[in-house]
Amino acid sequence: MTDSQQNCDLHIYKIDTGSTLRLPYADGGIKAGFPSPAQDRLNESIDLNSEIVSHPASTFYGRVAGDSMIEEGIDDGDILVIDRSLEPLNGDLAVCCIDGEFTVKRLKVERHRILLMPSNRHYRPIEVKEDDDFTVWGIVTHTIKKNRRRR
Amino acid sequence: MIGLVDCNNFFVSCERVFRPELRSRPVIVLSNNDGCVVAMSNEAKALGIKRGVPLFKIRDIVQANDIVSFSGNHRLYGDMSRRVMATLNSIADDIEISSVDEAFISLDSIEENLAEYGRTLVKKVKRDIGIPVSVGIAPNRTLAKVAARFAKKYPGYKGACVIDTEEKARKALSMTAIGDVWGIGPRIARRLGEAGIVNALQFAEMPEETVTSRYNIMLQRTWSELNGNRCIETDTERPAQKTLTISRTFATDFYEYRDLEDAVTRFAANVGERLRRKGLFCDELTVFIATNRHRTDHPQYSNCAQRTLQEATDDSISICKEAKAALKAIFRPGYGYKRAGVTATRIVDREHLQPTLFEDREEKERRAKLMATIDSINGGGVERIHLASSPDISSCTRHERVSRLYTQRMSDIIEINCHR
Repeated sequence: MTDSQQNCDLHIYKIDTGSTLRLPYADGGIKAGFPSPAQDRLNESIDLNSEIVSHPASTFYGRVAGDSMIEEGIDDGDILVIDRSLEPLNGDLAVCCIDGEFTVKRLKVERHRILLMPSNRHYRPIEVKEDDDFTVWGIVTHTIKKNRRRR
Repeated sequence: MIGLVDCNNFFVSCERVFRPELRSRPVIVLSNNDGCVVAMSNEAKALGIKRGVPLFKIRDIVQANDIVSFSGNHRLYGDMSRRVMATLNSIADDIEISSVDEAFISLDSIEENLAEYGRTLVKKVKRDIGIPVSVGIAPNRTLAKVAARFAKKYPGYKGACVIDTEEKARKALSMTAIGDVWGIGPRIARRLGEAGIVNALQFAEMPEETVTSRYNIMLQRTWSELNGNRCIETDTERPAQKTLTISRTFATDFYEYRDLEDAVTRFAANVGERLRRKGLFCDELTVFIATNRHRTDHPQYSNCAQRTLQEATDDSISICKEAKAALKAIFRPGYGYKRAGVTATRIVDREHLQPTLFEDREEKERRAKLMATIDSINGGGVERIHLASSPDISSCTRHERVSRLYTQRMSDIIEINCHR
């Protein structure tokens, strides 16, 4: 790679959004002439699924309703990528079931209790005690949001 | 050693993953047309609800106890099953999926404590997918099944039960009803019961000569496995599927021949599709129709007709043609038909296909190509095209309480409440 290429800070990649789409490989027969050097790499394009979902079997999606996490950029309507296979750690963004309902909060683990921390100054932390009906449903690994403000 | 991983109340558990508020409530899942209970939670079992009971018979119990009922959402269950199996695959080297909620795993290479290993599997599947499973571990499949029943029944096992000594095996078998043994159907169980054999231990203790002289090879193998030998190596050793039925209960009674024909040709086309998917062929077909037997105030009629096909086939067009002919033979006007179905019998695989004398090779290949095209267009469980004679009958089936496609449709994913 030359210096001028390295300095360029915006790379445009080709995106393959349908990861199950099979691209035809050298379809239509072999023609005489010099083959394209790129022919061997026809199937190489970025697959967002494999980038974002490291454990497909345990990954689920959820949609945010409400504004209790807006200060860390999680808005109403955003889609959460939730991996159930990850061990919950202090500070993780977690989808939790509390009183039979899903919510998403940052986990703050203390000695005798867990606090579910909102990211919105108008909300108060939710305190979880030992006897509460509470489970961590999964850990949020990514947030998908629409940035273009039109339908 | 062999392990059996069995999902607990699988359909109910799938629904609960996405509806945490149902965790300790009684839940039932109903068959395709909300006719019968096909799965129930432990809480529903405790209320006396048994698998197979028609919904109308338990309406009062359902209402009085506020039981939550779902229509079977089999696309969701299929996806959850795939996830469970993928998780097992990532831990165990050798897994053999035997049904939507069950898989055998080979434990021959496991050196650690087997009960601990089993509990690790239970924990992993519960955490990764949210589905509770039970693990039975034993020297063979039949005993692994027995062990899994114990793991499910007694919480003390923490999800995994190991039968690794003769003593444990005898104790477990003495507590297992003969009809609950894998491979022993209700008919044989009744026969054994008449001979005084009520539990599995009594059967296992029968002298070998008696067993070999009285019972068929499958039952002999079951006997041998109950005695600790390994005989049944894969599920494929079990006799191949002999019949395949597609049938429905309609939401409303069908009086017109035309409506019934639509339904029957549709079932026939589905039979063809299933056969092709499994690489099987059939050369006999049965069509049955029946009125609503619960409406004793209406005139009752039911009948079936069998047709032999020219040759064994998996071609929807030929199957539909014969199904229509069979229906014509039994249809009587003036009745309200509630139920119909198509059964393929005398099913063989490709190896056992008999070539016929007068076959039109060219036409056959053309048809096979057409079917393959239809199947590939309809791949992934979505029906995009079908034979004109087999229109969409989804409108005639009932889906009252189908849950969402939480894992398959973006608009159906779970909602995360951020109002608190």
